[in-house]
Amino acid sequence: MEKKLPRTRPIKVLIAEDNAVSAKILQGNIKDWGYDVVLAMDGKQAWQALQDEEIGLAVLDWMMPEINGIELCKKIRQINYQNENHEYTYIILLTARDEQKDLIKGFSAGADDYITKPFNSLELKARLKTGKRLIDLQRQLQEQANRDGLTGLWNRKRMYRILEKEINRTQRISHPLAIIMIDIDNFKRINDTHGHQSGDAVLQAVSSILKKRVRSYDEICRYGGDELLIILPNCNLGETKKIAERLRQAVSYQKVNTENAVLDVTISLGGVSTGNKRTDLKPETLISTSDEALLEAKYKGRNCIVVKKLKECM
Amino acid sequence: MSNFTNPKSTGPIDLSSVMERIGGDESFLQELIEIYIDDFVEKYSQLKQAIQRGKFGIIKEVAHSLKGASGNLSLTDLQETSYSLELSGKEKNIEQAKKSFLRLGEEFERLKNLLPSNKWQNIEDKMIRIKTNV
Repeated sequence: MEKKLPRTRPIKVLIAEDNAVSAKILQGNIKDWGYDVVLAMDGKQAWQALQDEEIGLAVLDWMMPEINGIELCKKIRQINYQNENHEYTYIILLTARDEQKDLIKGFSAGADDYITKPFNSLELKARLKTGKRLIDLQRQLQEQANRDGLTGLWNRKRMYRILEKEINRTQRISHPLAIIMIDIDNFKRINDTHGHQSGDAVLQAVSSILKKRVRSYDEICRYGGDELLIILPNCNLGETKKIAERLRQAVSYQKVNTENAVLDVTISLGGVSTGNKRTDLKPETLISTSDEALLEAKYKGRNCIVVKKLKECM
Repeated sequence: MSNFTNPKSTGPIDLSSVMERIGGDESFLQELIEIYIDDFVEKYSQLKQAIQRGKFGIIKEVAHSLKGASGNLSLTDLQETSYSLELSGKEKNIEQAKKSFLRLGEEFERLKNLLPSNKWQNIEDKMIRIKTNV
């Protein structure tokens, strides 16, 4: 499931240090500075933590049993590059003074920075802050790259990625997957009559109503123009109908305040749910079927829902 | 903690530098010292075995780790001696290793005042067992 993470979520710092005293001092300091700390006593534990948790900053001891700091660096960079959804991990190597000549090895393995032991706490704090700045910036960029600017919903690029992931999951665990395509009724007329700013306000208002009414693990995306698309994992035909109807009612009962007018807005919804057993399912198939259903809903007179079971599954 | 009240004495620990590192928390320092001492005894025993068997790789690794811990607690002499032990492991110099190992034991004795006497007694017993166990 894609996590909807607030921008302020604290950065997790992994400390990989086999020496108990050093680990304890690092942990005490780093916690005091407001980070979440994950402690690993050797390279293997550290590697496990890196896979299980979203680690923003890693403070790695150079010499460790099982997997040493340099090998860890290489492994981290591999997952960073293989998986573009994986958050970048900023790596600070802990080195002894006499290892300094080997630093080039550390940097070419993928370390971002280093600090010599015994470390000066102000220096470590400053170096962590540099790393945090980079992680924050990256999170912002990622957010901007995946969100629609007007509504704050997932954008189309992100939508396809979520769909592909959910389709994969559906095929793996044999759960039904549903999507609902939504179109705001007479949107063009709203724009023509009240101006594009009112149109924008309507889109925002509808988005915010939908956000409140879907299940916590459903994902809402802006497909384009006034068309929105909701991805509903593990949702059968009956449940999809229920949710679609709930959304239709929620929008039609609420008036939308724009600068110029108070509007009665309605939506039409076209949904599709897969069966349990699916092979070779493509995002396009789901989208075109829900599009057909949406068109039927429009023909039926708008402000209504049409939900279909995917043809091949009947 | 009365153990830490005289920063001017040239004891085994550079108090002002370690306090800066851990934010001036004396009870935390006490806790760290106890962890360090337990850790030291275990490593000392590993070092003894490694020296007896001429395992230079282990000498180097264990001394390195001890060097780091000593440095973080600003136990300057112990840090330096650990370092020369690490070097002797690297250079496969058994005579130098033995010398540094003995010096390490002597310098460790100077931590005596940093622990309550009953706890120290316990540690001393362990150290004697390691030293006499051939």
